Amino acid sequence: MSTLLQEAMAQNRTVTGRVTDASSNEGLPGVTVLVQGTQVGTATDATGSYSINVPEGGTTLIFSFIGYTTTERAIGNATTINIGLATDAKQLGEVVVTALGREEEKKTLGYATQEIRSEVLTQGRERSVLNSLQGKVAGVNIQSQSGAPGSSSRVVIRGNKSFTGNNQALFVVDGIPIDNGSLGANGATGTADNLNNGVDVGNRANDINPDDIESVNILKGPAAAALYGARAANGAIMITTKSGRNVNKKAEITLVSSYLVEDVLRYPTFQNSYGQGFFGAADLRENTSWGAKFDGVVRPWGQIVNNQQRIKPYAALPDNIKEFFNYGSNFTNSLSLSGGSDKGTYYTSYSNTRQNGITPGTEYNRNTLTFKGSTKLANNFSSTASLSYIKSGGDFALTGQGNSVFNQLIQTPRDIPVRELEDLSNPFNNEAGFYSPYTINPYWAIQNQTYTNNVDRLFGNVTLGYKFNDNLNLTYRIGTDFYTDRRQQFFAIRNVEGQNAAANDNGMYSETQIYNREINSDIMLSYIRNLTTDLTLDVLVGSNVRQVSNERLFAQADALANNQFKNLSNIVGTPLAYSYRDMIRLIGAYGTAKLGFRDFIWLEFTGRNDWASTLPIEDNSFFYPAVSLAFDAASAFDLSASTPINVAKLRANFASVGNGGELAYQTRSVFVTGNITDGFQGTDLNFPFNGMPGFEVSNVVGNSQLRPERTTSYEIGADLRFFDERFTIDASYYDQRSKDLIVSVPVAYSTGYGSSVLNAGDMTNKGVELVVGGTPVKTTTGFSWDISVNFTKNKNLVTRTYQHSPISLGGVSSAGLYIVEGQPYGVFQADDIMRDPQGRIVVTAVDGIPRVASEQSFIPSITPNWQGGLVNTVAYKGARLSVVVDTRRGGKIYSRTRATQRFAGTAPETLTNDRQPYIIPNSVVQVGNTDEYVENTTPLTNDNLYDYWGNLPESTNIIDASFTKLREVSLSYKLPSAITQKTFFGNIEIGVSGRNLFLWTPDENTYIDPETNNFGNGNVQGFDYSGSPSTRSWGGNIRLTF
Amino acid sequence: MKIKNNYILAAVFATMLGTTSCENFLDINNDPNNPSSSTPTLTLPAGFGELAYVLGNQFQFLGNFYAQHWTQSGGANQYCDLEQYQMTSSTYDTRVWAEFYAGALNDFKYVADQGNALNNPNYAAIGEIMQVYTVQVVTDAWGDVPYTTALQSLENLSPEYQSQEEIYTGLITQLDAAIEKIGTGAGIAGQDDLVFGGDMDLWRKFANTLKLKIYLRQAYVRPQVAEAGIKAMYAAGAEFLGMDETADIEFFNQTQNRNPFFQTQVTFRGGVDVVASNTSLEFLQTTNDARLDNFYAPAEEGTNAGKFIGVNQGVECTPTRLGLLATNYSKPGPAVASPTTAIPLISAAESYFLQAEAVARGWVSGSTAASLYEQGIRASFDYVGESDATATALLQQPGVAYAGGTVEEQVEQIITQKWLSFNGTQGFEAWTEYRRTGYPSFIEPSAASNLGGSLLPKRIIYPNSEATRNENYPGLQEVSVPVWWDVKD
Repeated sequence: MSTLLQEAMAQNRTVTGRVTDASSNEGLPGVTVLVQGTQVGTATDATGSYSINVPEGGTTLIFSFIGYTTTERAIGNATTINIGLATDAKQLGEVVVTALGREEEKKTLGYATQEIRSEVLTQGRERSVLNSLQGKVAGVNIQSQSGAPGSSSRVVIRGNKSFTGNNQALFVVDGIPIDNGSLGANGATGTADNLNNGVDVGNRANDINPDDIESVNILKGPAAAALYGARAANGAIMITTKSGRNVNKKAEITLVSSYLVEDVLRYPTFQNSYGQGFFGAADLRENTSWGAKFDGVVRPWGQIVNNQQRIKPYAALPDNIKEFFNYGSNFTNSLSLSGGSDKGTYYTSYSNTRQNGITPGTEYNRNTLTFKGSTKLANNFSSTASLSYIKSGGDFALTGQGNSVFNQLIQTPRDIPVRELEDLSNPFNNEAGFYSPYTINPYWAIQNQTYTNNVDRLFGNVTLGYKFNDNLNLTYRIGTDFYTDRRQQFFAIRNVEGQNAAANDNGMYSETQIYNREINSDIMLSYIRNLTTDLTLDVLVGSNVRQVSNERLFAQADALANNQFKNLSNIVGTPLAYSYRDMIRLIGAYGTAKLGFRDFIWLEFTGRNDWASTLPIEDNSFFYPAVSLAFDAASAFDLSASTPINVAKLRANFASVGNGGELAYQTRSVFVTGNITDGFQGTDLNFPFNGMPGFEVSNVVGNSQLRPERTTSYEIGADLRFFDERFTIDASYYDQRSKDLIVSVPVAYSTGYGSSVLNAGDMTNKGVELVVGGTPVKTTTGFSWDISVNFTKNKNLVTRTYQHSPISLGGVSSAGLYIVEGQPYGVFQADDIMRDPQGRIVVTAVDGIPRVASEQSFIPSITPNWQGGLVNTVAYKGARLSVVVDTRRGGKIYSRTRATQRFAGTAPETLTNDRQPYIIPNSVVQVGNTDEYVENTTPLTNDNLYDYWGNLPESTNIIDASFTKLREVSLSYKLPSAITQKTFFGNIEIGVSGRNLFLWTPDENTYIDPETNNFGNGNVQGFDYSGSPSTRSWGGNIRLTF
Repeated sequence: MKIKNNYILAAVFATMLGTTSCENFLDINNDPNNPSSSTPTLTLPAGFGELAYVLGNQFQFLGNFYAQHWTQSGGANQYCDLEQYQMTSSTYDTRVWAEFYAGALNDFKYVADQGNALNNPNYAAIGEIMQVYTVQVVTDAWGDVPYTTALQSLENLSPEYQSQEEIYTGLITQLDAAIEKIGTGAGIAGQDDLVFGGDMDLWRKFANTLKLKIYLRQAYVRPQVAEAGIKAMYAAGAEFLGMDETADIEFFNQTQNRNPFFQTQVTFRGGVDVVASNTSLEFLQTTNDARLDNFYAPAEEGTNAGKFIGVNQGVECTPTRLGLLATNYSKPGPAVASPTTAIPLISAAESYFLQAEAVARGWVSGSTAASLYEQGIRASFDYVGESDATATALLQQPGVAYAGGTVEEQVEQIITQKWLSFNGTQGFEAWTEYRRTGYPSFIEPSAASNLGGSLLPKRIIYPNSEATRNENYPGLQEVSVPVWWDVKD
């Protein structure tokens, strides 16, 4: 026996076999096959087949491949070993995409990143990539601005770092930054007139088709993003799109279809006791519910038209507002074709998303066409090209205080049947016959005040690589992103006689053409080498050239000849025209070197120097360094052998990144065309004045000494994994100080100017991010339960403003948003109730109504205290259930819905004392102009309750913005291959999903989803300003591969 | 395609060569959208526009409400703050105070500075005269304000608040220097002078009338200074604006070129707010004044359709309001609320009334106070387009015919008619002269007043922007605190 055995062992022998994907049974090329305990190894070929010479003493084969569980097989006497590898979700995360599109092992990184795979990203079938990340990542605040089709989202990582500049993360697709612009609806200036005439036209990062995405990796800190230079301070969202897979040279076709139904997530709570009227009595023309108590008696309502009048019971219609909204829908179809060989891969896809809004007539369409291909050429060249064409656009509803549909709707008295107003051919519903002179028919507003846009966008890049040898690679990449956005706004003429004449309007038509282009060109030389058996070196040097240009053309006819056609020739008078263009350029040179020692400690240095066109030409250069350290104690001390600790990685980094300003033309003073306004819409005096040009000295003083902004950041963190990685903790603490912020500093107007561009602000962000993950249950039968909790606390503090002066961010004059020294970013400054020195409410003697304090109050702030998310995933065989809950605590929002409901007498609080006379508790009257205050004896009565509620100072309309949302629930089932094998489908997966299904808010918020913001996705957040409500959605989806 | 290739080539080139071509490649930061320089010709109209806009809009509302030509209708409550005499530090800030200092004053200063630098004294004179005019409006509104240390850009970020007394003294000096420059150099282009089309003789008259106005404002607080100054003017043969010489800025019925009150109230608000105050309307009716249908329009609907009917001041902002739509009352009429209504800086009528007061006070002689008063009324009729015959008819009316009497009785009659002539177009001056003189004596506080007693607003609250940005901000002054020259009960 023993002799025989010896002989057998001494013999080399050949084992062959095929490695496949366990779920698809498709061959896996490139799998490493290693004989355990030896240096003998090979890789599978394009079909997944291999052949290996097993040396004497070899007993076990190890099969390993990125993304799959490493599997061992005893050889025994076998000559053929076929094996199916199972995917390993955790393993997949180990190589991540970092700045400039580099692929690096996660364990070697000294900074925090968090990766979201396509499966988790698309499980909710959300249109927006950004919204799809909500609740799933720590340190990132993602705010969807409304439920209107195509509406924008705002993404801020680790807090705002700039006062008035861009605070949103940089978006990078396959290594090339793309534009994430969001120009306001008012094309003349690009700054929206959100007060009167707001439209959320979306933001450009939402153009991306989520189904094209392989993974999203979030580089949270400046150290991580430092190679991106100026824009690194805000962190980066690295999107990697799908590539063709090298699968048997056979094309893989994937079809994904989903259909979601949408409805309003939060309706305001209404009172249902009092109806249309004023002073406690009926008034058939009122837009308010200050009338008599409901009695159910059938009475006429609305105007008398042709000697006729409609009748209805005088009773509350609890759902009259609700009935206005439709069920919206979101129908998405995405088809992709991919394939490859060992010499090249390709991926191409087409997708269509059609969203019909909850507001009748609103819609958004997006078509995307993507191609990505790569080749490896014989003479050491490689190339990749990707190109995406996106056509998107929509039909949007106006928001704001003017004639917006939402402003009309919310004022509707409690007994007016909104749905009966829909037929505009009905003489009771048209412009003249509509019941109220104070509002207009919301259905008329939708049909006759339109805003549409059309975006054509192309972005892509070409990458060429040359491999000098195994250590040295040269890469050149050029990418561009450009789009045109053509917008048309139309307001019909209203010209009627009678009670509704006050809303007569000359009509308006405008066209805006926006053109934007960004070009990035990078050349990079990388050198990777094992210096000794213990020491590895990874060096990269490169240069970047970036150019961003914008153009806008705007023309408006502000009085129309008729309502028949939408063209600038439809005009009475002269058109207003406006053009604008700007361009910035930046040149950067960068380098990074990472030293690794024994696969457990890595030290990386990064440096970049930028030359920016936005800075004074003689002083436009700035340098910034970063250093990071990663140390895995588990590997260093081999803890995994003796303890349940698998990974005990500690991270530390420092970075100091500069920002030369994204804004052109700040270094010189100019003259500007005279324009004077009182803040209302269309009431400006605009030069030329009767043909006479007028150029005024600009109110902004240019600054020829402008310096770059600088953010200095320290970060420490830990990545701890226990029990075969079934329990993981990833924690970070960071301390970021942004200094010399470039800000248009307000100066006293008595200087002759309003602001000067200065380096004049400091702000800090300190925060903690925590992601705790676990797999409490995992059975051999395939059942697993994964849970992941993320927690984010970012403490933002404005530490310096110029001369301690508040800086206005925007908002309304009676409730503006400011940057205030010693406060977090975004403090409301609002009219407030006048109080005596004891804090009692000072009222007017004659009517008992609170007086308004002469000076406004500061109310901090829009910044939340903390936020968190919980992701639960249960999987069993082909079934997978995922539930995402997220919460945001603290922060304030101004609610115009509250203000309007108070004014219109529809808020439940207006029922105080059943609208019988009452004296405001703890109120006093000022004696003359003295410091003496006496008790108030004047009650509020039905004659002025409307005045009291309607004119409460705006500070009382600023409410707690905390919320908790059941963000996402998805259930999917992949049919077993036993079934699919009998079909021509590779995979069949069906699912149901829902988003934003439930919303919990503090008691004082009975009005809105506090995540809403109607002032666009810029820095002015926290304004509910009569916009589209947010939505919840649910539906089904199917994914087929062929 | 050619251009695109060039760009890509440039980008590649720059990448390859690194920073050698940096300088030119990055030297692109010149704003292509706005000029980096201007001329007096291009900037003077902007200054006029800014001044006229505020006088014709925010100050038109403020002045005509406080002087009780207009009041809030019950159909809305947009301007109840004005009726309640309620004002905050944000009310007249970034669109009013800012438009005066960073708009009109800074642009007039540019015109004056450039006029001096380019050796064109006429431009310098116009720029300086208009600065004086504007500063007087500002100090009359807010009291102590930045003056000599204002408008210095980053050189002085906290301009000092000077006493109104000091400012009034300074204005005379500044005005005298400006008058000296008139006509001493080459003529100026006409079209950019939106007031007089380049007629420097009229500018001299305007400056004299302005000087008279500045002196008379001090008639109660510094009578000796006023008297001496006015006497000196007459001794030097000063000429004033006469019939048909109203200094005003015209508006045009074109997009965003229309009268700002028309644009804001009639167009944007749909005319739902402003209606006639009975204080003014009933006085016109009592005296059978033919200007009634120029200043006001008849009610469009309701029981008084076709008639002239007003609302008692402020009552529609009180619990006893009726709540009727503005269309049930007289709204501002064709002479004050049309797209092309001009905004007078100093009207011919005002010039005569100023002269009449100077004579009535016995400080100067020449024409009688009575004849100057009559000419003031005739100039007002002329300006709104009423015939001289109707003016003659009015002058027969009891209470209108010049009655003489004590100085104070004469001043009351002059100011009361001056107040009427300001209806709808010079609201701010109407309120300001009411504050100075207490006339018309029949003005009672708004029914909605928050001030209590017989108090009326005496000033505008300092803007928030000054409170937060100017280290010399003097602190809150309530609306009930009078300005320096406001000493008469």
